[in-house]
Amino acid sequence: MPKKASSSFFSRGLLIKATLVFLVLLLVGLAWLDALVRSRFDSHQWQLPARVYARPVELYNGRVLDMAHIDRLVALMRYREEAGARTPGSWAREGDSLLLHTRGFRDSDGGEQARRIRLRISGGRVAGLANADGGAVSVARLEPMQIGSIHPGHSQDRILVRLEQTPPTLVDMLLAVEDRQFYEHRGVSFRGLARATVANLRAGGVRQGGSTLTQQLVKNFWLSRDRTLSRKLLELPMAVLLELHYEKPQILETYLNEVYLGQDGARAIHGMGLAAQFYFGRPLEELDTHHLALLVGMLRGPGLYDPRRRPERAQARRDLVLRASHAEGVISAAQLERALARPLEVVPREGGALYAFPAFIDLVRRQLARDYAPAVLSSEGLIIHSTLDVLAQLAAEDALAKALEARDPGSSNGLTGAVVMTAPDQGDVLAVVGDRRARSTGFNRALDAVRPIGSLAKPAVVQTALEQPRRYHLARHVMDEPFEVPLAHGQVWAPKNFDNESRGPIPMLDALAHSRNQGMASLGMEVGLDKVIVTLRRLGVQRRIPAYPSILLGSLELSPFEVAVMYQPLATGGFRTPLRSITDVLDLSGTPLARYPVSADPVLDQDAAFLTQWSMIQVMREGTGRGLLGVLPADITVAGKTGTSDGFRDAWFAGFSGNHLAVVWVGRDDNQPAGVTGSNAALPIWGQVMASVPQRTLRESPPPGVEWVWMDADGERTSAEGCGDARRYPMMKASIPSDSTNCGARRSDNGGGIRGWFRRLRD
Amino acid sequence: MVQAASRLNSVRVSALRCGALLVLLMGLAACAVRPVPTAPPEPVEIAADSPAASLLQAARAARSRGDLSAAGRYLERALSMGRGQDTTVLYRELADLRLEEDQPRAAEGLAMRALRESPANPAWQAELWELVAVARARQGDEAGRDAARDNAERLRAELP
Repeated sequence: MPKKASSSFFSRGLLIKATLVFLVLLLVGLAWLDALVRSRFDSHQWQLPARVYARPVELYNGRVLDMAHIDRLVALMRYREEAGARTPGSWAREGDSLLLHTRGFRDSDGGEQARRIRLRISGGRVAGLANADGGAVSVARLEPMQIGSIHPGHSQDRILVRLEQTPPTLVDMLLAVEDRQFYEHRGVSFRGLARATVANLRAGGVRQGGSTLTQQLVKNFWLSRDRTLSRKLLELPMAVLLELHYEKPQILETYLNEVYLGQDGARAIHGMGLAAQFYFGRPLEELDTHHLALLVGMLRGPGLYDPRRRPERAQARRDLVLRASHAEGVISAAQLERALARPLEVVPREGGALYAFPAFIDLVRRQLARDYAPAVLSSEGLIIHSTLDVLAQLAAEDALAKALEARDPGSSNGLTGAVVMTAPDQGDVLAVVGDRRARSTGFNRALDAVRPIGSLAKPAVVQTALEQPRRYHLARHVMDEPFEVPLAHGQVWAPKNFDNESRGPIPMLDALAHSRNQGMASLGMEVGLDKVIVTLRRLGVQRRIPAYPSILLGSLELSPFEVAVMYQPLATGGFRTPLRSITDVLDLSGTPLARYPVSADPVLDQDAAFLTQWSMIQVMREGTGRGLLGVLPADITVAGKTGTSDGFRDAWFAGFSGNHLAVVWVGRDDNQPAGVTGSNAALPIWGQVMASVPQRTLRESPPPGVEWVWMDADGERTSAEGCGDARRYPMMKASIPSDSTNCGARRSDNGGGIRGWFRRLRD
Repeated sequence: MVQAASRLNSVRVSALRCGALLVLLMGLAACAVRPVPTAPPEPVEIAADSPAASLLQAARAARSRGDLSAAGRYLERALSMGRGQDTTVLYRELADLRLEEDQPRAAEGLAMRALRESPANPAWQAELWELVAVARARQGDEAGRDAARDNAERLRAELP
């Protein structure tokens, strides 16, 4: 630059220099802005919380399902009743069948396409399943209900929608109202600005923004929300730069996903996809014109036009959008008329499946936390398939709430409870209820109420004894009479029976079936406390187990969930299958990331486990569980055990069928006497819970090492049918006594006479 | 393991007894006493028209194209709707899958579970014991493998 002396303040040289400096600064500034715009836009990752879904409802011939279930499902999933069920998310009744148009979803097995299926229900079961357009269907799944999203740390929530998924009417209405020149301008619309200025001058204040969608996006994306001049100065060049680098569809799609549309407590509702779910309970694709108009209208002030808090104002705004859209030719006069006639149709915040099952989500959260960092869970949009069975969950909530309301109306005595239900074959946790008010997000008793389990410990004692088949079998007598065990510091442990009576020598089976404390405690002491503790460990108890004799009668404290873990091997005949609340994790695009597969670990001697299970069946037939007779179908064999803690503080029932296991606890949070027993408080709830889900019977066919044997009442000699008080027991071969009463011709079902003699030789 | 060993023992004992019996009766009387099946036992499979059958088929197809996680998901779904002897078939299929996924320990447990759910069908049970043997061998448990093989042998010996 030539140097030329000058004294004039206004010399041309200085002006040029100043201009140049200004231009350089401007260029640098623009370059900086450009880099800012590009880096942020290119690397932009939506903050997408992980979404948790319930187990999809499977439809197949023979599945237990009645019209009440269907009504519940279509309400929860917000299916519309629509003739012919032509669009996803709709259903219709046609004669004796139903049409369901499912929505489709992604899963590790590829998931399901949206499809129209014809369903016939008869006698409380699915009696026919076919494609609506013909062709048989073997299995179909309804899309899983979203039951929660995991967003610790930050509060933005959204469901990403692609432009091609977005209803064209939404886009057209949006442009008609917010930015008519969107496809013509290059980020800034001077016509729009001029129009807004005129309108504002007329109104005497700022009423219209005049901003293009691009400017609005810049504002939301990079700039603070306050309307300052400096912000306005940056907004213009950034909008132009954005348009320079990116195509209109990209900008539009980002806009649709970025916009703020409301608040749900700490959760900010962003994007049209989530707003559709939040306000209408349905995916964006399924919304009608009047729904879409409301969403477009709300952009100007989600609080101001909140359809739940200010329905009249919201409706006026919606109608304004509809009319403007008609004026712009987006919708016809007929469409306008139809849409104006519709109410807002906003769903209440409660009533859907989302956030309805806090106790279960709590479990999912804890299981996820073991494998995923909080940042991953809150931002990557993971799809989490959980094991929750919505119908089972609702039934369990209902059973607990009704029973406790009957026993303790209005909670005046502080009686509360918890339920856990699982499918032992897969270890799936189907239902978790942590409070009689199931929607309460407070103390999760199913996971965190750690209470003495009472007689629920007794099957562990029986199992431990039976694993020594040469010494013990179910017919062997145990002493139900007072005894004392000296403890440290001169104390004495002297167990008592609930009825304060003692029955003397009784078969081990009866001691369990009738929950005789003295009989079971004396057996436990004879077998060895240390061995019982080992069994409890093998059953999956992870807490420290104090080596006190009182653990034999359940001074051990566990949560209902831990009891479900402990009873799992008893339900499966000796296999530990870890309980899982999650089956699959997929990424945002539906690619499988992780599976939590079913496993089965043999942890108990299977012959002994069969006998323990069988003795728990007898609990239901003739013992403390017989009060349930008639509640479940007669052809469904179930097994279980009652539990009651000291002072009637805790009532338990834990039991299982061939395909479900449930644990019920009833008590008070303050651990005060509640006047409850396993039989009178927990068992009826258990019965209701189990009766509400399709049951498979427990098989009573013994494993190869077990035989049916008639035993004399003395428990020491074999006998035969019809001889005195002889009873039939399943026995491990090593247990079968060689002594016989020599009554009758047959020693055992398959062992009497000459054939039996040969058989014994062979065995 | 313990159980397998004790079964092995009982096999030996019954062999001894059977020998004594043969000497005693000097003939084939013992074999006549034995409940000899007249025809090979029915194959253990899932009823073709059951919903579990179509999922099993889908699982096999997924496995053959190398999509093991899809196969696992199909099988577990089938398990939740299975009836009767479906479960033994599905646990066996899961065990096979775990072997392919190089999870022999899990495979062994699932094969044992299939055995527990199995009907009294020696051919089927022998195949399951063979599966257990493979799973044990892959874990380096040679004694366990041999015990499982012996069980399979014994069961096959019961076949006509």
